[in-house]
Amino acid sequence: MTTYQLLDADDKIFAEVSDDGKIYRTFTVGDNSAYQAMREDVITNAGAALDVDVPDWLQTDADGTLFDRQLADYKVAKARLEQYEVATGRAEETETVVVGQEWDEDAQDFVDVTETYVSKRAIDPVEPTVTRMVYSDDMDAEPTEETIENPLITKDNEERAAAQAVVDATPQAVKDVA
Amino acid sequence: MTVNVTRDAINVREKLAELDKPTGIAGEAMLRAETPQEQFNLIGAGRRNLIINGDMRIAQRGTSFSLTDDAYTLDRWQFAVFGSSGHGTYTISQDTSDYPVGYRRSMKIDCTTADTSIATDAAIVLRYRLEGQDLQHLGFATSEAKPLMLSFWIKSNLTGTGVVNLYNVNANKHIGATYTINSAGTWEYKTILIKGDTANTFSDDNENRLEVRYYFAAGSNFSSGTQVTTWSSRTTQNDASDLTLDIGSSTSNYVNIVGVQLEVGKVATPFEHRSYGEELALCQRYYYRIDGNSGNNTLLCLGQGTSTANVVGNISFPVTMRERPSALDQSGTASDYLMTNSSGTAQDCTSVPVFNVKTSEYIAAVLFASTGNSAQGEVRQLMLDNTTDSFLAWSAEL
Repeated sequence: MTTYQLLDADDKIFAEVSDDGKIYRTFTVGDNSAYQAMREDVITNAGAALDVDVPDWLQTDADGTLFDRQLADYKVAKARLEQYEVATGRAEETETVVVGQEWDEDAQDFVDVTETYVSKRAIDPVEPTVTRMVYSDDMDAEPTEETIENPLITKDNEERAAAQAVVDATPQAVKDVA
Repeated sequence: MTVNVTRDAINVREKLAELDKPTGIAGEAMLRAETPQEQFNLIGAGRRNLIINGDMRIAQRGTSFSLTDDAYTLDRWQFAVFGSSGHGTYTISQDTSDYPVGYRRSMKIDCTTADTSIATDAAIVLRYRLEGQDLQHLGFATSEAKPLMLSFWIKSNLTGTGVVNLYNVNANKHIGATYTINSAGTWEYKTILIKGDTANTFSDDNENRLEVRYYFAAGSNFSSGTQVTTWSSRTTQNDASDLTLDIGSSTSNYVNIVGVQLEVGKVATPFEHRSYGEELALCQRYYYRIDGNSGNNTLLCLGQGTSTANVVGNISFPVTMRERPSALDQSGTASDYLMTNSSGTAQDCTSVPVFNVKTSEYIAAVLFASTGNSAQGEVRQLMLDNTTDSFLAWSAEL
């Protein structure tokens, strides 16, 4: 397992110590893979790979990185949950927008001219089940029919459940800024 | 005596027509061009290839890599393994024996440990990254966004459909294209036209803003959607939907690739061969390595003692690096590095060289240590030992 040795606290210089005990890379804070891996160890393993207590500045950087990551994951998960469910489909949605103005003789004033357009077209729900043929290992046996949940619904449900799990696990502080 | 001769002006186009010599469509187009700029655009003059090391000649990091995860290989080219579970083991090498006419090397991606069932979240990708400031002339996010032409030579034991993506990192947009490997074990030249994006552009900076991604295997997370052929918000499932290649499925599988050129325009022009020195300098903006040799010690620089053990030396980068490097790579063996003592005799270092924070994108600062061999303020020579194992390297890769 790769470990990290603090060489210079003032200049934040570390050594990446390989499994063979050798140092092939020395590094500081920046866009290099060694620093990112060390920060990841702080995020996921409380900095167990460091030979010193996690410095405050490194902990702050790790916390910020984790926050940004959770925020990004949360937004993706929320967007996934806002998609329509394939089992129920989606109703048509319309929006009315002002496209100009015209003179109204009765009102003796300009009035808005509006147009209504379909902002989201309707999508029919998929069939709840599908039937498939099941073949036995016995070559002489006749295949049988099996009715199962539509795989599109199964996949949709799995993805929604995964997205919901991300949302549930997201700290409130992250949700507050999303 | 001076004789003045006056004659009528010559209409070159009429004279050419009188010659009854076919000028061809291109020739006529050139004659019709009203301005030098139009002629320039027609022949694609000037620097064309946006890809550095497209001919796979520069290999500062080495010429062979056994990989299961992301790593830079031949200069500027990153082998990427998407997903947590990987998909086999690969040797990425600079192949000096198999290349099409006009080249002397290619990159070979060779599967050495197969994975017959690719994980849903896995993909094998050859990736090239471009800086945003090198893409501004494409005119993206305007009505005059320029098309791009990607051309390359490829050879594989596999036949089928390959997929390339261009990924706008800024906007999280991508566009895909397919090509067909028709014959196993045969070099084939491929050209792919990519539309310009009139909606999204790239930041004008030195960061990674555009990626060229060759997919050579893709799990369902990267292939279960629909292949995108217009610039679209990236959905990973649409990355490589039409891909039929799976390089990781057998240890017999390999892909060789070379002559990669990404250029503005709708025409694939011949590969832009640059001199070795020019190509190396372009690569050194992203990675710079000084190697030792078996003949003599390699002098790096003079350094000044900061203590009884430590000397800091400054090594100028041959070209300005993309950004300030933040790490120093070396062999891991202290005796591969030398510094002179007060008598001028070279002594082994007692620990490996260490990165120094005074490093900038212009000059590297390196701390050498040889216990008892230094004195504050004194000057020492810093060297690589006469072994091919010794090296120092800095990365500013995207």
